[in-house]
Amino acid sequence: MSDSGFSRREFLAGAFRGRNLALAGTGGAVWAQLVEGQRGPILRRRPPGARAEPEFLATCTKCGQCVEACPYDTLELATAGQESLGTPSFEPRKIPCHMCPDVPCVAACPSGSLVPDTAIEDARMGLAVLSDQETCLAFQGLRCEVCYRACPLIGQAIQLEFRPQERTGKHAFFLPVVNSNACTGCGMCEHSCVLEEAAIKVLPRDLAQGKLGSNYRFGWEEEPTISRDFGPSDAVQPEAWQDNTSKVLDALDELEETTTP
Amino acid sequence: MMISAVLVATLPEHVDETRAAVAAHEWADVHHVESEKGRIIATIEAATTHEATARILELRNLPHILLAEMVEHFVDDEAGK
Amino acid sequence: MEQTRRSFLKTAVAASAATSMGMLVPAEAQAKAKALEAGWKWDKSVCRFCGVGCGIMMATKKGRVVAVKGDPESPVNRGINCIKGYFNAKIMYGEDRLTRPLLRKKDGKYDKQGKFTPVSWEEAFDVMAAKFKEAYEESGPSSVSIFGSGQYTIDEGYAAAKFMKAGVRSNNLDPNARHCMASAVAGFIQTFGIDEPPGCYDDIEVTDAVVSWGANMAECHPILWSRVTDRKLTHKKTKVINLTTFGNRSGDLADLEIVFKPQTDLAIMNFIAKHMIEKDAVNHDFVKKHCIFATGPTDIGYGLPADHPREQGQTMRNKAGAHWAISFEEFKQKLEPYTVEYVSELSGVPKEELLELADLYADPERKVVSFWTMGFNQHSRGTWVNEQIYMIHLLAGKISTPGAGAFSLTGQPSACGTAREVGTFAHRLPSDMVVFNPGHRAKSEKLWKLPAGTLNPKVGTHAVAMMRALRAGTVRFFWAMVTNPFQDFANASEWIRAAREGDNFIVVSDCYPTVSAKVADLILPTAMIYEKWGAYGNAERRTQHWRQQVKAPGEAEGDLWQILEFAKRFKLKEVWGEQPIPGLKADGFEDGKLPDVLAGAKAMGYDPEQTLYEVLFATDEMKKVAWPDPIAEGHPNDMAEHFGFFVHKALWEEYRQFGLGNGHDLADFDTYHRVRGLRWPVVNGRETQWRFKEGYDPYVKPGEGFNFYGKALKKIPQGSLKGEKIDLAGKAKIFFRPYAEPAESPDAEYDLWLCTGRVLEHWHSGSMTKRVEELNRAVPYAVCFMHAEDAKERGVARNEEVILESRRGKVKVRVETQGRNRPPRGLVFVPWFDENVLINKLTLDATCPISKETDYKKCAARVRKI
Repeated sequence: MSDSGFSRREFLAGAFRGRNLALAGTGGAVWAQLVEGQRGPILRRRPPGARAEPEFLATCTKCGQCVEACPYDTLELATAGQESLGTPSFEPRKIPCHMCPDVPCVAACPSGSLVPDTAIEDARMGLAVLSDQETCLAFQGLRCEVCYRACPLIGQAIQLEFRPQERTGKHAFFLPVVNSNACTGCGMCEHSCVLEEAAIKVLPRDLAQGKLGSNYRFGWEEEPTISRDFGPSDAVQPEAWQDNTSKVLDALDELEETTTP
Repeated sequence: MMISAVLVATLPEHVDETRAAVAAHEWADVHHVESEKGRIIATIEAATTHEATARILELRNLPHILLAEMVEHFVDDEAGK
Repeated sequence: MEQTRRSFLKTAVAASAATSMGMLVPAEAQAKAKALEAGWKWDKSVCRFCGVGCGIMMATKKGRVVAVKGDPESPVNRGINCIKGYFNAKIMYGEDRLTRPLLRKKDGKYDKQGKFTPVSWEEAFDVMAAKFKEAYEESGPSSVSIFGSGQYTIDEGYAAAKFMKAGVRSNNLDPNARHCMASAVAGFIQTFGIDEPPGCYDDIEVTDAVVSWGANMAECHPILWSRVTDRKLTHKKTKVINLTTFGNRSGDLADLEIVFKPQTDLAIMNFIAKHMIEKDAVNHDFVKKHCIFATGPTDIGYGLPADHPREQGQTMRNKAGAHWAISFEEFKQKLEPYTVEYVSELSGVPKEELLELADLYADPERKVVSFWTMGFNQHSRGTWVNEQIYMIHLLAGKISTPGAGAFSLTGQPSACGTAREVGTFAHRLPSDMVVFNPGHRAKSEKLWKLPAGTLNPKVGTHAVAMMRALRAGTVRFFWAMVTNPFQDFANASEWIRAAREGDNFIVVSDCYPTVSAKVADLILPTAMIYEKWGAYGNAERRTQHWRQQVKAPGEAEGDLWQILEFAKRFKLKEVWGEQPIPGLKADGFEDGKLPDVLAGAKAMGYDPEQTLYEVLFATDEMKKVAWPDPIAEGHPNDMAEHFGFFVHKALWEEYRQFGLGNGHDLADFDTYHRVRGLRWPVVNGRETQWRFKEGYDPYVKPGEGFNFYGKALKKIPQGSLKGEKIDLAGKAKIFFRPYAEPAESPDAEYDLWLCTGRVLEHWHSGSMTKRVEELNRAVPYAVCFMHAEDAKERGVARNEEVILESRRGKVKVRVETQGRNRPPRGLVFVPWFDENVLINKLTLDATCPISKETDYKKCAARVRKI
């Protein structure tokens, strides 16, 4: 399997010689990815300003300059055995994002994978999710709320909800609730969680969040205004119905057995 | 025998020129072109990894090319026999 | 070869690279969502599903409903919905939506054994009218029927009633609400002399206790249950008790879940009354002033055919509703047997649970609301159990008062508004009037401008009787609208056979190919709720109107359009001549006949050549109600365009004349389009929250305190059926009703109770909700809930497919021993939404002999391993 002058092993190893990846390194990284199959990483927490994942993958050149720019050593490039090899991400439990006001990582990005001039409050590195209420101390009625207080956007990204504690009849629960409109995914909460394994975790947003069907809106979020400009053009008959007779007849045929007395 | 897919990036106004320049190599084929973004996907044939690297470097040195990066790499042992 | 392979590899590698480079990545989802909402038009509307009657806001774009949201201004739901409500926007867009009339044809002609073939509306109505007239001319008005619905809009139900009763002079119009609310109606009429609940949903926010009887509110009235839950959480004193024959979701919130043996609710309530009397928890002042005691015959049968063994010796089966006044002493005496020991033994409920329940009602310091639905109503003594719950509340004086009341929940969105208030029942006329009352007929004839003697005084065939008449061949034309009878009726195989094999013509108006459509001879494609103007009336007497939002697909037309077009095919001379009515006996009528009223009609200015459409629906007065109308705010009205006047408004304004001044007052059409519904009676623009109570109900005069002013059945004999009649004006009746055996109980051969019902995710027979992919995915098929030990005993594992069978039929169904319902030993529960698990092939068509409502909750069945 060896080629003249350049073994595949060396070819692969070339990927990790430096943060400023050489061409051969990139090629090797991609080769490794090919071996593992083309999948996005599951628990990726991207740097601030990262574009939506497919676009991020398409544009990131794996140059590592964001990693070098990070003063807290938060960012790391994915290594062999990890997915999306060579791309930057971070593990909040080790080192969370400290939300630098000047966002040096974004400033360092040459490819635009990290959207230029992203303000740190607008960053969406992931979303904090209180993933385990069974171990979360606040949910047991303990006055913990460490994550709430660690949150750089305290009261905005994590709020407290108060509920009566019926067991004791005298106390209250102080429940941390994440507001996805404000959470940057910095991971201070996950980092600070006092449990052995954090009960609150930063997850990639697309993994963490549901999506309301387009058929429904929350009625209380805006004024229930009745549109006054309904007109004839709004009342056209939808097309595509005329030719469904065969579907109807098929459906009727399927009921043959059911309607046998 | 190896086939590598290479992402070639250029400015949109140079897409046609670059495309022709890449395709001029007998070991390179152009497959997809995104004119408005200046992105081209080409494949390179090479016998060895060394040759593949060299050929990508050669592309990179063409005029107007901002980026030439290998994104897929395929080793076809059968074809190499 | 080598070259081909190589170029293939190159293409593949390049394609993979392009994909991973995001070269085909679509624009960001958020931007897309924003663009999506551009041009949405919002309007207020009502949820299509249950009787709670939640308000929704509905968005349309380019002729399609694209989204809904809960209406935060609706007092019912304040902007939230259940998961069915969430999908209102999707129910109309199933791919097998009916869009053309389909007629069974062979060799180009109608043939009962033929294949469904698309036909024009013209041909559909030609055949339909010919078949109608064939039966009608041979056998008279009793041979034709319409089976309607509590899901008709109010104007549709009103038009159906007017067409049948005033037009073709047949009282064979009955709604599916017969299976749903009839026992509640009979209970209201017998107790109060007027239909529908005294209280309203606002009771929940001020009560101290909620007792749910035979109602799984957590699943079947989800938004109301959310209000109950809030009350329980925020008002410490609140107790919740769930009485049921199997553990269900409503038990989760309850302080006490009482699982009793089927049918023993009759005895439990008598025990409560006895306990209250013994503890002297009777509100004597209230009872003396406002109530009277009554009872009735006990040998009233089970609503089965006369030759059924269960009906033998039931001498009062035809006078089941008769009753007479008794004294308090007599009442007390009749309760004597219902000791805690006896009732505990009979019901299987521990004594302490019975006492806890009884003490709740007896506590003078505690306001209590009782809710019930199908567990009471679908009961072979449905009227009795309804009366018994009033017995308890009236004894305690806990009624018609904020936070204290007995509240009958409805199943359907307009069981109240349409079926009951309009009177689409075989015995009813609008506004609580009945066909056998000469005064009511006279009033209706006057309002409908009919010659005297037009209306038929003989009660028509109620739902179950209609099917039996179809089997007997005495009903030969059957038109089902907004309902799926061949899936819904108990003992379904029997009626499917009657429809398919009898000499009859079955028409089904529906939006999707249902079991009933399959059984029909003619299928009429029908516009759905938001494709037409309409109104529904919910369980708390709230009337809510909506505008048409979109056009119906293909050739589908609304039920109202269908009735009016069909009416064009009848001339007065065909229907207002003398008509045979077998068995008719009434003052002023020749036996067995309806008189010729054509002379009277001529005197009123009618021409015998005029059509029923012209006489009933397009009178000069109605045609004056012009379209377009500013109240439409630009919304379409296909009906008005077609007929040339504002049909819905014209019908509404005529209809509401029936209720003015007699406790059923409704507001004018336009008012309802400006508000989020109003609870009738609406007097001087004000709605009524609590009826019969001074200070709330405009019909109760100052100083009266309470006035149960309903007029029906207020002159009853004293002491016995033969006693002297007394007048009970203004009073409510406290009935004594004894325990009675069920119609069918498990035995050695069929050893399980079978109970049927609903799940939250699906509506009724599933014709709409099964078309919503997400709901279908959530609950794809019906399962048979049973106790794990019962399953084990039969060698059956969870998820195993078994045969569930009764004396009437069988289905294949999967066994579920876990999950949302927890039956006790000896009982299985199967929901009825699934046409592929047609559970009504098993159920028994026994009814309450008074209300004629089927008992879907009790029959004997067995599970057989396959």
